[in-house]
Amino acid sequence: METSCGEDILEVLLCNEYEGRSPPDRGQLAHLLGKELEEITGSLVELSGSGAVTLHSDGTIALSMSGRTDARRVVQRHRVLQRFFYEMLGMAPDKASREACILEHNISDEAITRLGNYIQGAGPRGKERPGAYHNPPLPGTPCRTPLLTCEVGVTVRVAGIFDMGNIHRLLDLGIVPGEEVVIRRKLGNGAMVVEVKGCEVAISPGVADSICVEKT
Amino acid sequence: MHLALLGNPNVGKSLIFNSLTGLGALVSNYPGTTVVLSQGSVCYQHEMVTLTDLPGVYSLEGRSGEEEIVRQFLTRGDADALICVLDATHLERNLYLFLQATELAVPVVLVLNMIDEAERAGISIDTDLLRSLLGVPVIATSARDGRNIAAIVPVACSDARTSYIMVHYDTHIEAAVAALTGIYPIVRPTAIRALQGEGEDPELLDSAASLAKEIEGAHFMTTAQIVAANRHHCARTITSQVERKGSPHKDVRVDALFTTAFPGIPILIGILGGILLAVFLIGTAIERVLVGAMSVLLLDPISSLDLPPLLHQVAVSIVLAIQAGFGIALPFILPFFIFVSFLEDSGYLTRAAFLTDRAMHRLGLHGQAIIPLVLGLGCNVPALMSIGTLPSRRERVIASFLVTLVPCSARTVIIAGVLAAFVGIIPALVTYLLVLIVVVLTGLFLSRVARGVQFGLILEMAPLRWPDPRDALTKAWMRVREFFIIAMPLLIASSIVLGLLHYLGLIKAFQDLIAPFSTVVLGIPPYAITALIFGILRKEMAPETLFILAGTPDLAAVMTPVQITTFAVMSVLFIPCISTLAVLVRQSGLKVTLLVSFYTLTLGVLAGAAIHLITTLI
Repeated sequence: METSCGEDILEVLLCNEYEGRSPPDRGQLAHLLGKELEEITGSLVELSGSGAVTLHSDGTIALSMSGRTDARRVVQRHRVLQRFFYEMLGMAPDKASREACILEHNISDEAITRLGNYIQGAGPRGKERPGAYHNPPLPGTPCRTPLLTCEVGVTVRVAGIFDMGNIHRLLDLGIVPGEEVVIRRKLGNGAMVVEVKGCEVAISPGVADSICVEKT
Repeated sequence: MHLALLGNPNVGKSLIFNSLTGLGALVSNYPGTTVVLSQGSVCYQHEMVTLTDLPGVYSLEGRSGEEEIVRQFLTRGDADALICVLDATHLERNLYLFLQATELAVPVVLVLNMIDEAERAGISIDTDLLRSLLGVPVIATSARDGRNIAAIVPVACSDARTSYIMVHYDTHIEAAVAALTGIYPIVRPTAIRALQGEGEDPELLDSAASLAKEIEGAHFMTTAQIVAANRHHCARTITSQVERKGSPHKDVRVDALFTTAFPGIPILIGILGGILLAVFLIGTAIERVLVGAMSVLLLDPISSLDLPPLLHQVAVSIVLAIQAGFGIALPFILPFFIFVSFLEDSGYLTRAAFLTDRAMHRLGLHGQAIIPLVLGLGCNVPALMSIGTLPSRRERVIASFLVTLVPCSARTVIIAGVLAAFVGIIPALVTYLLVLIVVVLTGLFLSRVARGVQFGLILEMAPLRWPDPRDALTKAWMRVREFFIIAMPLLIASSIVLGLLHYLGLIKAFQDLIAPFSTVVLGIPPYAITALIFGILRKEMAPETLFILAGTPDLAAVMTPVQITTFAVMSVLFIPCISTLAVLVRQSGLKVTLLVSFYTLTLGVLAGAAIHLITTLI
């Protein structure tokens, strides 16, 4: 149970970030999780021990870089499962979400990948796809290649973007799912210049990490 | 008739604006807002046509400062027609903004600028087909050599149309838009924005959020991503019909030098250091002549006029204010901006932003903030004017603090003219370094405490090109004029107030009151405090006043080296000058300004006290 509580905490923190709210303190976090303060203390200590979350001196709790990666993985597992229950099995959305909440902690990465591929192959309720832009790839499969890991000179296709609520400019510049980008330059820290629609765009490592791509 | 120029950054919009209106264009406060928009007028068929140059944006949605300004302007409906300026070399990307503009149902004219560059790159665009696809007039121009520029205003006045092109959004989005526009009295663009979680009406946002959640559940993509993808798709469909591509984009070899850690970073340091040195040398030379000339031509005649004392005081104060304004603007701001405009037009600044992004992150900012910080080394006023381009309020607040701490050329003058001259070059360098360390520490601290989410860098790299000196000069001049508009009235007002206080003996009274404090805590003579206060008007005035009050230009004779050091350090850290404060209020609000003033005041006093304490203990 310890791991599942920890993963729930990560998930809630990521959602909180996504909604642009300031980091919660212990009490608020327990409230968001619908649990008592004592129930989450153990997991919190464990998470901060492993470096996934940072406990600030003012009592607020924030995700670390590695914690954010873990949290995304949990959210992705949740999405794939929820989609499977909802679209393939025809369950009600909230019920699908609840089931996904339970299963997401114990399922292996391989199973999720295969399930994701299966859903993608079947298409959303057999509906015809009007074109690459209308229904881009990557439903909820775990991100195997973030743009951050790609090398200079490679051409990749954007598969999905983790919207942390600050990527509007990215979309305006044409970095949208389905679009091809070329990596032009990369600094030691992972900041890169990519070419999209004939224009060069500089992005910082954090942003590059939230863009999921596939090789063309 | 009121026309407005809309377009992405770097499409030559301002160049078109300048060549249409000439240099006489008025930079004015846009009515009802605190935003400065360039406005000019053109005569067409005996009618006055007002032309507004909107800031360059990529989208009419989004929350950045410029996007807000443009949206505000467009929703007010003041413009009778929009002139959409598109970069012919990047038609597809530029059409994205155009497609958003057509949703506003305003008559538009499409200007296909940089057509010469497109031709050179082997891109040919079928303007007739584009015209018939979009249903609006299309003018292919080249602002650089003036091709077809004269046709813009006549066509916009007589022939602008509402485009009949329409982006077909995903069926779910369309259904949601139909639902929202059915329930609420809103137009299509507002509904689309609401679906992306943007807007003002909380009730509308609530309904939109529940619809958006369903759509996102089905697509596993945010509504913003779907909408953007649909628009880009539409732009691509249009472009693929009208454009014939030339040779693929070539990687410019010089660019590789600028955007790799080595030699990019040494080049960056070299360029910035060179500019600072040049501005400092040119600036001090011109300033000496200018301030000297004004003293001879204005101050001395006033003294010889034998006016009543009160009137004399007011007249002197006004002259001092004018002296302060010109003493900063012409010698320092103008040359600095000529250099920076050059860099900006060449596209180099975006490369600098990319290289410094990582270091800036530590300070709670990102790469784009290098521009205000560098500008701050020349003068804080233009630096603060440029922080409006930063994407979040958090970054603007942090930048407000850091920029006002950056030692501007005036403060460098104090360090050089007082510390280096009377105490030695080593203490002067140490002080300069200390101030920079304070900037870094403040950044490190603020990045921890400031509220809000940190944004990553997402910045389009402007293409590298050789800048046109005329454009750079024009741009520099526009900025200096902006400085005068903002700072001059305040400078004159505060100078008169300070003068009157002096006349009424209040400054003397204050000096007596502060005497125990200044002698015991800071270890400097009370008249040095008066000099510090005058330094708020213009930083270089602090040492100048000190020379007068001390009764000798040889400070070493009346003050100890420690006292001189305390004075210099305090005047460098002390509250920024009044012009800086004025711009700060405009850019970041009264609260931040008060915080900055309080912080710098505390910092100055603490530093002064620390120096005194340490030296007496030793």
